Amino acid sequence: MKKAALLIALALATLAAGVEEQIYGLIIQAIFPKKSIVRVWVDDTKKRELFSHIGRVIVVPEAEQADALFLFHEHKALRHCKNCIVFVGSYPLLLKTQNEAIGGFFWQKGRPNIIFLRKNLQAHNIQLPSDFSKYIEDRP
Amino acid sequence: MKSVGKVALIFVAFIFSLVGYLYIKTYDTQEHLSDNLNKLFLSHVKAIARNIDTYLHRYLSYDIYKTLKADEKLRLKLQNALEIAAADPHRYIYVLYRDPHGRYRYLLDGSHEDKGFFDQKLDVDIPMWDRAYKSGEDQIISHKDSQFLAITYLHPLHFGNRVEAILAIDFTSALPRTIGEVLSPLRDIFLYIFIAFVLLVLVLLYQLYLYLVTKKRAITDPLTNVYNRTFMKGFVDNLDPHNYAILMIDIDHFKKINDNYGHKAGDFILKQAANTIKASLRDDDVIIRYGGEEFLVFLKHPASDADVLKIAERIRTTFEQAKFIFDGHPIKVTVSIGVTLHPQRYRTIKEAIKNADEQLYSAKRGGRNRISYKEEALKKEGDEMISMVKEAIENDRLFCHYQPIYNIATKKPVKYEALVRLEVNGKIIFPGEFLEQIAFTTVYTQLTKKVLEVVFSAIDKYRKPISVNLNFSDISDNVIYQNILETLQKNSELAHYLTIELLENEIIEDPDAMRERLHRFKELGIAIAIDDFGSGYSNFEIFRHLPIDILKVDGSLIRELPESKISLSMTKAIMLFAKENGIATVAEFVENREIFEILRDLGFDYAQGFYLSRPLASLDDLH
Repeated sequence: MKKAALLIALALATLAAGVEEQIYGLIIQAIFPKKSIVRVWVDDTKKRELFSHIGRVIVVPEAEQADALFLFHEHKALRHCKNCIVFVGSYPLLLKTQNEAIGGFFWQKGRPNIIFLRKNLQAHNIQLPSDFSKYIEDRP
Repeated sequence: MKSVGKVALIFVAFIFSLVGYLYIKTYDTQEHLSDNLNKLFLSHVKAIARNIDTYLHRYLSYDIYKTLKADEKLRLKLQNALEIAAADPHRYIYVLYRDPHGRYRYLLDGSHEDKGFFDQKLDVDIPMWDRAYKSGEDQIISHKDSQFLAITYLHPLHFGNRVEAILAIDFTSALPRTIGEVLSPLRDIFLYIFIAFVLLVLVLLYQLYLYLVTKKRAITDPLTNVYNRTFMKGFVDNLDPHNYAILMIDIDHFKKINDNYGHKAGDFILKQAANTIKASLRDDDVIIRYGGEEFLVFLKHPASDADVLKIAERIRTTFEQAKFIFDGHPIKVTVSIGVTLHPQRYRTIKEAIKNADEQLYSAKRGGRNRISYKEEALKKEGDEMISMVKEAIENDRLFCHYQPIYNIATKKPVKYEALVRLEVNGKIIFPGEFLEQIAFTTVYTQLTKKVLEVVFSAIDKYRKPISVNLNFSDISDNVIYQNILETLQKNSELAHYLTIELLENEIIEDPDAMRERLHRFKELGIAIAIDDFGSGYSNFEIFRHLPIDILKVDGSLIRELPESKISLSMTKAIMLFAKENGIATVAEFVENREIFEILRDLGFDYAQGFYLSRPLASLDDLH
């Protein structure tokens, strides 16, 4: 029975990863509508694999080479990166990086949650498609 | 064999359908139980929601966003209270309010994990939440596409006259898992039943396979792989002779092959012969290894006699033209074939096979490598006569006339001899016109049965002694013998009025069995007479073996009594023998007074003939 539960959990995780990959794909498309190739830097080893499967996306080894940083943990890269497009993977991190990050995507109670911060979007001159307007907030 | 296969297939299909149906029904049952459990959980959570609602109203009265924003301590207190109720399967319990932009944000979150911050947005199914807000009534959201959530229960929190927030309780996917775990023993039981059924069916199939293999071995000749005589016994018992023609095939000079080339060569030739015959037949035809080098073939539904002979000729020429190579030696083989074209014309299928054997013998005597069959079997008249008699029997156009038998001393009729007649197209047909042609056919048996039925019926009605003519082979025939016994079992009195007149025109094949059967008849009260004594195969020998009560002297002797000394001497001798042995005597063909008086002087007991009376159309007048 334990084995069965483990298998179910693995299957669910795989399915969730599929959804997550799609959502990140849509977010990247919304942020960089005109770029044919988007270079991203990801600070989480496991998530790197996920991003590598997204079309048009290349995961780069150095933060300096990236068009956008996807952060899941607090990272010193943030300190050295000025004018970087930062997107975070948790709400607490979004609270901490609310001056730099343009938004965040994370799971809350089994639901995918997206937040874009208006002020930072404007700072980077990013115009999101109208579908995303429901996710734009003045504060995290 | 084919029908057994079909039945087995239907049985297996039925079992699998039944088991499949049960297994599918398991899922129905599971779904049904799952619904019921869902309802149980929901009624439970509804009660929890009501309790939380009551609890929150103790601390909050109106504009709860402002109150909670301003009082962090109260927020913590209320959240701690919510945490008490947050446990699997309803892991998340939280309160959201709708901001002016229509987005839902946390006020309180009693979840132990994945806790939301005060005023944090939560992306939810907005239309359903709006409905709860608008209607003020509880809502249930089913998350069919979510891997983490099963159900969300929404309970609007009313403060004053309006809904200020919504209490949400999320059932995680642990709920269906829990239900699944609750139901798993039931599902397992069904699964075990299913497996047990499948195993049972497999065992049955294996048993059936073993049975069929064993049965096939028992009825198959291991050398030639065609049916053997064991199969034939069952086959001929259920065979409709109208549907077949019979070929008896024998390999010519087979002994020489064994002598010249050895037994291995003989076995090789037998195998090749079986294969060659098989190749000339259709699937419906049956081939049996009848003896050492003899094969019996039953051709099913042959189109015509010519068709049967064509097949026989094809087999013969195939052998004639073939050369079988054994161990480098070419061996030439020919076959002789005996044919029975119409098995239905024989009394039993055994007799039809016997005829094919006789024809085979004829083909051998004729020089081998040939086909033999009875020419007269092809005569159409025979077929027509058989059909005519059959039709008359089936349409109740068979009846009896009754020839009175007189006591010579009293000159009064004491008995009546039943004489069969057919009525065809308004004409009366006498037995001399059809008996010979239907002899040794199944129609003859039917006719005998019918005559016995008419005679027993007449005895029952008129209570007069009646004699009926039967052949020895009629007594040997189990169907007729049993028919008589069964009738007498129902009404034993009839036996005392019946005399069986045995015609001495056949050789008794099994005298012991015949004696036993006649004794049985006598025990029941039937009198036994010997008919037409003094002519044909008549022999005094018969009296040594059979229990004869009455001796009927043949008409040819009686007719000649006035003129022929020899006939008179023979009759006297017969009379002397009968008197000494206490056997009653009857004379037939008494055509005039002179004959009658001679018979009286000779001491005959009974007489019959036109001088005394013509056969009566009915016994009604006597009655």
